[in-house]
Amino acid sequence: MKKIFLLVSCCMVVLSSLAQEKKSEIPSVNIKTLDGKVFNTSQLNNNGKPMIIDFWATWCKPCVTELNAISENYADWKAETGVKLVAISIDDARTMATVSPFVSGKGWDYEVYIDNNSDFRRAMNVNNVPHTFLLDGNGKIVAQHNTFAPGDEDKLYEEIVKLSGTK
Amino acid sequence: MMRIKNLLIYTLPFYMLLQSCDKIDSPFSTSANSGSVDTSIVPQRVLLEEYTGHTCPNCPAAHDEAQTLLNTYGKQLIVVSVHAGYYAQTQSGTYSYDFRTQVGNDLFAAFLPTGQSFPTGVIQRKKNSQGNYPIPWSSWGTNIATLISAKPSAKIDMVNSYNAATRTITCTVTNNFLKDISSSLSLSVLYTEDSIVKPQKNGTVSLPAYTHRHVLRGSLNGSWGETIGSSFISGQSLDKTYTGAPISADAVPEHISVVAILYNTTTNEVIQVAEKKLIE
Amino acid sequence: MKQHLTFITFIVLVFCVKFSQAQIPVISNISGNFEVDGQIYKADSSIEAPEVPEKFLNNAFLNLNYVNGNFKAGLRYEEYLGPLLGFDERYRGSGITYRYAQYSVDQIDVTVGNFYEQFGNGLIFRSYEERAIGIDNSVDGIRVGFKPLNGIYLKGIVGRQRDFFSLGEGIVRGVDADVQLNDLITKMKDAKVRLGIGGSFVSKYQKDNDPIRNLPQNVGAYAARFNLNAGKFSMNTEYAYKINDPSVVNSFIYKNGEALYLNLSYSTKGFGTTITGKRIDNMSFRSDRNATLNSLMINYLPAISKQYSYRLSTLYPYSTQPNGEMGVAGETFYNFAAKTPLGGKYGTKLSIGASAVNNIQRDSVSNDTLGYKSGFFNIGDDIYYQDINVELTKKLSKKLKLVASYIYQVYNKNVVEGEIGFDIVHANIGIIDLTYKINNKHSIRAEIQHLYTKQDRKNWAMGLIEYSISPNWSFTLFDEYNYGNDNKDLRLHYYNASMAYTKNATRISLGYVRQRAGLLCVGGVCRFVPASNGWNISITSRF
Repeated sequence: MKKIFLLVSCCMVVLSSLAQEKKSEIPSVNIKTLDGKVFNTSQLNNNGKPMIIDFWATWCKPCVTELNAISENYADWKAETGVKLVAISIDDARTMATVSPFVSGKGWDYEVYIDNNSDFRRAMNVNNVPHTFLLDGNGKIVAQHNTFAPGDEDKLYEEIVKLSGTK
Repeated sequence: MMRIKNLLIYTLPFYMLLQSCDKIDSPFSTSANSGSVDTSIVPQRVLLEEYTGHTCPNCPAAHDEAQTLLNTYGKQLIVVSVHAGYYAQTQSGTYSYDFRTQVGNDLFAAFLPTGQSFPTGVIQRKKNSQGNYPIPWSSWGTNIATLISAKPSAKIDMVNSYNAATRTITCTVTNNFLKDISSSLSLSVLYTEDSIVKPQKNGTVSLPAYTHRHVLRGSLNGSWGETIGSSFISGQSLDKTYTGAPISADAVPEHISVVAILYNTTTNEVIQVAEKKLIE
Repeated sequence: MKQHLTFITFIVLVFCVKFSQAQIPVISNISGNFEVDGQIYKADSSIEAPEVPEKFLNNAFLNLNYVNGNFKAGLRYEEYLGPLLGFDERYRGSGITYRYAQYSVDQIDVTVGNFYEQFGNGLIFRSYEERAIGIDNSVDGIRVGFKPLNGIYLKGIVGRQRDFFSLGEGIVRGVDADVQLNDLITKMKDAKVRLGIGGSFVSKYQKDNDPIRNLPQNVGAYAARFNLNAGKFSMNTEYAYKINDPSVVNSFIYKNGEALYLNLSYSTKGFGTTITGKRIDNMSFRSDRNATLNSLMINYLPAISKQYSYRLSTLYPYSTQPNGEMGVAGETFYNFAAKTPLGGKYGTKLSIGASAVNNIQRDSVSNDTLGYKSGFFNIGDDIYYQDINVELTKKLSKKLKLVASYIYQVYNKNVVEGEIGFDIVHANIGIIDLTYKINNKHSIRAEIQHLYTKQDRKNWAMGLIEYSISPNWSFTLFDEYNYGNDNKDLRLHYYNASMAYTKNATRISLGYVRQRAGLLCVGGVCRFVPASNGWNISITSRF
């Protein structure tokens, strides 16, 4: 059993090294927009500018704290760096209906999608929420962070500035 | 045109699937192969050890199932109710009677994994296809049906006696081997008591005078019995006699049955089992 | 063994084919994640924490994913030697429990191996994983997705469900059609109102070996759904019907099953409100009629009551009763903008919600095996769960933030946990959560919670302190104290001290925990989860 596991892993590593140069790290998965339309994640982009993909859920306290903290400065961040935050909610059928009113009621300005069977979360290998990815204009993951403590949003902003600075 | 053709081809399986349903009309039960056995043939008997407790809300359903199976299979099925674990604990008040026994606790520890949900049962002390002993109560019928039609490798006869003065049970078990057996076998002799009227939780209600049936009360030769040999030949006969410790003060001898279990020492699997009332 | 070998050969062959073709822009990547949770257990008779023979128990898994253009493959290795207390013992073991290969071309995508999928709201089919509570009912088989026209998505699945380290004996097959009318009908493309309809059919097959009963071997369920979005207003509804499905969960009755789910919501900048109504009648649907607890569920019946996160508010958690319940829940969110009278200097966020769930009315029928009959609009008199909750989030000053919450719960302990003698628990919970930002990197958070009830174990108090140093460190200490318990011996402290280090995607935490016991009751069977005591470690990462 272990031998096969090892064999498969080796095959994958060898073959991936033969493959071409990495492009976007966003896998292609179908999720839904807040108004129920099917949306493919390969279409996530910010026209060459930095983009944040933030996995969250309405029942996850630190996730909501993080999104609240970022929303306080979001307008400034957008103006200065052109960054866009895409919030992917992993709320399932139990709390899915609350996502849209919740987002409106918090006064957030983000692009929100619903990944209600965690397909995108699985494809992005996210274990626990909150998990925040910072991607460059080509869709490559430049930084990421799991959990949230007050002050993390400042570190995130430093990374965004670095990214937009090197452009 | 091509698109619509594709659409039709792909939706065709949907219509087919829609036909696949079994709506059952009454009657909803079938009379199973009843235990009507040709008495000249030695029957294979099956042991069902039901794990239960007086505060287990879902257990009465399992008790009813065991009774239905007893009605179906008669003497070919032997049921022993082992009261052990969390749901057999005593509480001050209604559920203060202690149904637990040393042998019951040992069997519970050996056959049930930690945190096993109740109700559950072990049949012929045989593991299921996933390598575990516990079998859900709704699968007991299916499991027993497969095992009960096997050709027996041994025949067990029992002679019981009860000493009213010392309140002890003596049992002589005669094992007749019908095949050659080259594994170590052990003989465990337990006794159960029927018709103990005490409270039982049933769902969200408490039944104050519930009839507890075939309750495991003790053993005549320890929790695991005695190893009686490592190989046996067809036609061989082996007698064993055991006398147990005195039965408890509130036990009613007329309600007691003795159960003799002949099992494979290493795999625990029951080869043959027999039951006989203490006082006939 | 052989299965895996043929599977690997399949992957290798596809690679060969891929590389011999003309150059296509390639997205290729290996990624994955893993998690290890371990705990050392010390017996403690005061809280009745049992002796654990292995002393150390752990749950671990590793996911590997490979993407190359339109081809994806992956696997997961899991190890439970032995499973943490509270997890089903049937998890004991290790091995590859999940492996798949997926290929998409034009309008079709095919997945072979294990997959997760949901039809509509999940009322008749949802295979998903919730690793933290040990739920994983992935289907091992084939999944085909087909998009014949813009706006139509068809899905078909066939397989058997995962059951710990083996597969359930029942075969599940199903089809689902999802139609987005605005994408399908060109005239509607830019319409202000978005409409969607969908339908699904799922059936399961399990052989009937029962000597006493005449059981249906094929059981089918249908569902139809409709959703509408008109700018700020939206509606989502689904109806499901299941034919006779006698199982251990419904005590082997031959009644059909029905479920209805209806949600209406309104959202505009700064304000959102939602209301959901639900009816469930005999809708437990598993691929093995003898399965209980969290095994082999085919569908997902979501609870409509709020999912709480503060500890004491999760002492009485409600879970859907698949045999029958009917209820309604609603929640409203409001953002008082900064510099308005109610908003204050920095703004205030308020949420108010309520829910009520009762049983369904059951009338007797002449034929006992049919169980009962229940009028579609007849709600029963027994309260299963009710709650009212209010939460206020306010930034008090540049450095201080407050979350204050009040919750009132009515919880039918009888029904949810199979207990008697406690009947309905009425609990009042107050929570204060304060965060103080010491400087740019250091912050401290304190929580005080109190639960007041005259039933069950009576009052609880809880205190928590969390000190974090952004972005890497976090130290937490909390204690739940059951001070109000009638039994003096049970007035115990259940504490937890832990520290965590997080760097990018990796998180390592180490702690000491003393946890209270609990009961897990699902599908007609109750499992006792013992109290525990000891050091724990958790490592998670992604790459």
